[in-house]
Amino acid sequence: MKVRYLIIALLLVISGVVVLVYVLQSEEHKIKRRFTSLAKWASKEEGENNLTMVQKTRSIGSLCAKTCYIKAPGTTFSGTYSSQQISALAARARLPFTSLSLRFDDLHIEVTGQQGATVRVTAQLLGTQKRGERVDDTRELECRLHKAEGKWLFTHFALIEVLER
Amino acid sequence: MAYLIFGHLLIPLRIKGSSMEPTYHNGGVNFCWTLGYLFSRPVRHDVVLVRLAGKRVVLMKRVVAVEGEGVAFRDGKLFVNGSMVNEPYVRYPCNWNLGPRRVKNGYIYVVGDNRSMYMEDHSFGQTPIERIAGVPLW
Repeated sequence: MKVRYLIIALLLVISGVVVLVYVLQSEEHKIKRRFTSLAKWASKEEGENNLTMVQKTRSIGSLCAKTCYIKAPGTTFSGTYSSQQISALAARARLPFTSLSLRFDDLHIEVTGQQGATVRVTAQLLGTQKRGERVDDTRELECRLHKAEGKWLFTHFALIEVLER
Repeated sequence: MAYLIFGHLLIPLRIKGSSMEPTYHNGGVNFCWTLGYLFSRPVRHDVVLVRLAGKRVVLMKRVVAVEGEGVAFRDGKLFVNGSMVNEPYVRYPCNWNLGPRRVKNGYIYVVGDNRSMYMEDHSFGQTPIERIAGVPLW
C-alpha cells in the first residue's frame, strides 16, 4: 500500500518536472528571457566601472543578429546596425546617465514559423542623468527576432507612436 | 471572481508622473473601469486610459477633441475648430503653440492637464479609439 502511494507521488513529481522543463524550454519563454537579459544589461548602477560597462554593452550587442534595424522616429538612432555598432550605440546611450533601469511589461509574443517572432511590448526607462535630471519614459515597441543556431536574436526594434501629435 | 473583477473589469492603478496634475497626483491610486465605453464613445473633457502594448501600463490623458475636429494651441489656449475651449481643469500657466491639425476618423485627441512643462516634454496627440483601455473610476 505504502509503495503504491510512493509510486504515485513519484510519478506526479516526474510529470511536474517534465511540464516545468517543457514550459521553460518553450519558445515564448526563451524569447522572454532575451528581454530579461536586455533589461539587465541596459541597466546601470551608480558608480559602474568601465569594465562592467564594456561587458554590459557587449552583451547587448550579442543579443542582436548580424544586422539589426532600429526605427525611432524623431531621434538620430534610426538605421541599420551591426551587432558591434549596437554595442557602441548602447554605450553612447548609457553614457549620460549615472543610473538607469529598463523594464519590459505586457509582452505579446507571436512566434511565426520555426525561426521568426514578433513581440509587442511596453518599455519603461527610468534614470538619472549626470546633470541630475530624472528621466521617466514609457514607450511601446515592436521587436522582431530571428532564431539562429538555437538562439533568438533581435533583428528589428521599432518605436510605436501611440500618440500622434 | 476576484480575478475576473480586478484582472479584467476594475484594474487597479498606481499613478506615476505629473502629466495630469493637479487633477490626478503622482503616487495616487485608482482603478481602470474597462466597461466605461461599452455603450458610448469618449467625448471632450473625458479622462481616459490609453493602453500601450497591454493593460498593465497605461497613459492617463484627457480628451480634448474627437474625430473630424481641428485642434490647435495658441499661447497656451486650446482651440477646437477655430473656437477657444474653456478648460477649467488646466490650473498651471501654459504657453504652448501648436498649428492646427485634424483628428482622423476613429481617433481622439488627448492631452494631459499639466501644461506647465515644455510642450516637447509632454506626451499628447491623437490615438485610435481602440487603444482606450477604460476610464478612471474616480
